[in-house]
Amino acid sequence: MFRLTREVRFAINTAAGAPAPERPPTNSYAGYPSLSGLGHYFTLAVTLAGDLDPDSHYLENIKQIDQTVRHLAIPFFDKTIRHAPSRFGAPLLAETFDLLKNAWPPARLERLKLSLSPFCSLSLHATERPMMRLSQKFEFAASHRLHNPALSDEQNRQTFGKCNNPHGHGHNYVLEVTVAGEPDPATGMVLDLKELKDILQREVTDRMDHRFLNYEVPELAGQIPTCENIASVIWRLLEPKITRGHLNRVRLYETPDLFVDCYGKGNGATGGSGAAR
Amino acid sequence: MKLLLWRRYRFSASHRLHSAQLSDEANQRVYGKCNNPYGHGHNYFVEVGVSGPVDPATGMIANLVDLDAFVEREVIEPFDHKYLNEEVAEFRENVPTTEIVCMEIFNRLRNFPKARLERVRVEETERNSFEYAGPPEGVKHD
Repeated sequence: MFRLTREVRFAINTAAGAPAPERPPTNSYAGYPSLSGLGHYFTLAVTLAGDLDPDSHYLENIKQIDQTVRHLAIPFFDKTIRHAPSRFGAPLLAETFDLLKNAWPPARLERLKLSLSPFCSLSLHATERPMMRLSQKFEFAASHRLHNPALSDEQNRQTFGKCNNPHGHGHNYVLEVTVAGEPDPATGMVLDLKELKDILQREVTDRMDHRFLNYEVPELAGQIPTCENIASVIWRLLEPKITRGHLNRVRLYETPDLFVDCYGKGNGATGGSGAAR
Repeated sequence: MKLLLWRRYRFSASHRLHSAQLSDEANQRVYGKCNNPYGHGHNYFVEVGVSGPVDPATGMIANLVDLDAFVEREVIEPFDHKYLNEEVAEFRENVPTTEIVCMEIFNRLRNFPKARLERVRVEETERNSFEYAGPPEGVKHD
């Protein structure tokens, strides 16, 4: 089975005198409709799952995805934001899902992910309704050294390479936390972002930000602070603290090219449902 | 708790979407610009996700030195700066849509000896990405 994710970028221009949505874009790479002055910029990622068409070897032609999203979803966003802004967020995403769910047969609409900013997104997975997932990115900077005292210096250098430098080295870690839960009918929110921030601050930032992880984080004592081990520690710190909904995934980027996902039991790579990213 | 280690790689290559089973007109209709007879190219990003126990001696699921060398040999070296349709044998038979490219990369990496290959994700552009997790019995969910 294959998955295809197409990101559709668009703007809802709400300022007085803004161009009509049907006007041709000024830069379709940057968004169609394009952002014009004061407005709202979104990306909607559509994930389809299924088998390949035997003639084209496509799961679905991405032009069909763009066209349908532009035809059905964007006018609905426009209407909602202008006339029913209280339905923005979870209700809007759920209704958009219903508009699109049968749009690309035989491919199945597996997930819709709405990015509210480059750092925060809300996603709906077909098999998890009415639950939604909310992801938020945080950053912390820390140093570490990969070294196992049980190995010889030579073995350490061989295993860890540059990361074995006795003086340590550092990274800007980016932590993406995903919480799954049923949106509160009163607020439309999966969880209170301020509450999540406070938990993050207490459990992760205060412990790890601008620290030397080998010596200053007791939870990592006796462990080599690889991305795998740091992500596991963060999962164990956060998991019991998320009480509205549940922690779905912790993704820790050591660099943009190296990251680790941490999932709970019965979730993620061993089960659960949905699509990647 | 379950861990997945992801590593991101890149290669640049050209391809042409053209199916020998379709007429020229049908090819043009199905593939549009991607059917250009001279081909066109992309900067592809490949994300390789592997799982396995964390080795207590190293703190790692897999040493990136091993993973990088394996991916370099199996995928990057044969694909980077190549015309996929002509220079990679598998794409002489199968149209190199990114779905097929993703599956081919998965198949080339599935025997990585140091950890279990879970998923391969390929970005053809910033806006299109594809994921393959092996045949149905091996399908992974996120």
